[in-house]
Amino acid sequence: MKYLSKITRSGLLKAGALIALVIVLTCCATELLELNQPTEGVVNEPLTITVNYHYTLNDDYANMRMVFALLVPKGWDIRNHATLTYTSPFGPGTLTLMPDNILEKKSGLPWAEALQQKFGIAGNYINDMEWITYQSSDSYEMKNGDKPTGTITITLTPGADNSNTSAKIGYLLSNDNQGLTEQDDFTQDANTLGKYYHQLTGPCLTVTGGTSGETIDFCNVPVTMADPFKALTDDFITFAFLSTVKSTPLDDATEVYLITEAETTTGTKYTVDEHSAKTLTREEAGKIFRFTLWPRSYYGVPEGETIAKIRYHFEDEHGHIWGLNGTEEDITYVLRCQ
Amino acid sequence: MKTIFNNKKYFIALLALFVLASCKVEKIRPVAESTKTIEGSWKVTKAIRNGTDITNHQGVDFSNFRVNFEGGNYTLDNRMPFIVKDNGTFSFDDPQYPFKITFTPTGTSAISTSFSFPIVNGARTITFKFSPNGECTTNAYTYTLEKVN
Repeated sequence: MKYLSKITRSGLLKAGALIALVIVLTCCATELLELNQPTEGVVNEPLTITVNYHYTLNDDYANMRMVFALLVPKGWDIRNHATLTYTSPFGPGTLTLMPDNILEKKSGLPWAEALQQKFGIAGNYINDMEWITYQSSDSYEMKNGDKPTGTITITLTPGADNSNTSAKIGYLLSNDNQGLTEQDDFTQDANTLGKYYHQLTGPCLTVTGGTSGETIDFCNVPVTMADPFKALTDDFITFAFLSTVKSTPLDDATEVYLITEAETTTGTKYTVDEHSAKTLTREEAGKIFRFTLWPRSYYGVPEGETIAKIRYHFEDEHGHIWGLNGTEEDITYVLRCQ
Repeated sequence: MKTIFNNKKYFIALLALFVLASCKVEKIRPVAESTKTIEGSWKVTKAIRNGTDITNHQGVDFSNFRVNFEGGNYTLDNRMPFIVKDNGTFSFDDPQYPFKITFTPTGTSAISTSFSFPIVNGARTITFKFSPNGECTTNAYTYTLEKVN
């Protein structure tokens, strides 16, 4: 009991401060730094992206592998159109595709699903992207306090689908021991301290030279949206006009109509071109004009017939039109499963 | 000689241990749903597509759609996208999966889907998860149905 009287208040405060400092200094960190990514590319021509990585480790690891992932448009088939290498204090290495049976620690899901759940499409606006996960070909023995750093080089060939595309590539760094976890005494915030992962989204990369005229724009909030991205004749398909994204000829509209023409796989056309309750969209929060239809019923399509595409544009009560890229041409929504 | 059995407390404890050890561990088998429990006419009160609630979207009208269960048969009134397109029979015929229902439309092959039977706000509801385009499972729907009085 005698010793307690020697512990003064200032002594306790000093001890507390020291402990806090020690926690900060020995905390983990996982960072991607100095991303060097082009903003222009050409279909089927390889381009090079580099990004520096850094870990500050606060534990010993008998075996640690780098985990690195890319968020890319599905149409680019990046699994078959990219090679990834890295430099490290232990020498150079290669990043190879993460086997599907390896589960991410925090969610217990395969990495692709875990990343999709946590980061979604990370700043892009079309839900047709995929996270592709890689791990270092070698595993390394690490010690508490180690700070491995190096550069990851990605050589990828965009545009396997031959489409002009603008997309923001997503990047994720983690490790196979902790995955998408955070240290216990840190809450989620924007910086990398306390986390065993770091996700960043690159600038918009525009790829030209494709065979189709339109650009699939993942980067910018669209004025029109069709959801889901892939659907068939017996789905509910939602068409929306986002009136505040930019100034359009429909700025003064009180009524916005969805004008459509559906075409079957055998060329039969069903047109719904009228200003009526059947085509009137409803204004939702954020001045989004929305309409959802079930093609089979909306167009009276008999069983056995399949809708292949729906061409559409939006029109107001004055006849002002917003179509493809703001022209009077229709936007084409292709109905497909895959 | 004083042995452990001389001590009453220890003896009772030991006896209890023997009794417990001799009990058989019986696995609780899930009770298969009786077809009678979903008897009646049901309407959709909530429709979700890929996580988006589309129940009250402009252009969507579930008010006349009914799924009717009677005996081992089901019928559809004012058809909407659903697990099946035609009337037929149904069953919960797989005791291994009590939360699975199998629909067999007349003249076509059976299709199974998962369902649950929760009570929401005091009312019995059925929830079906399905994709409405046969083999294409790109889009996932969840319908919640309530009995029509």
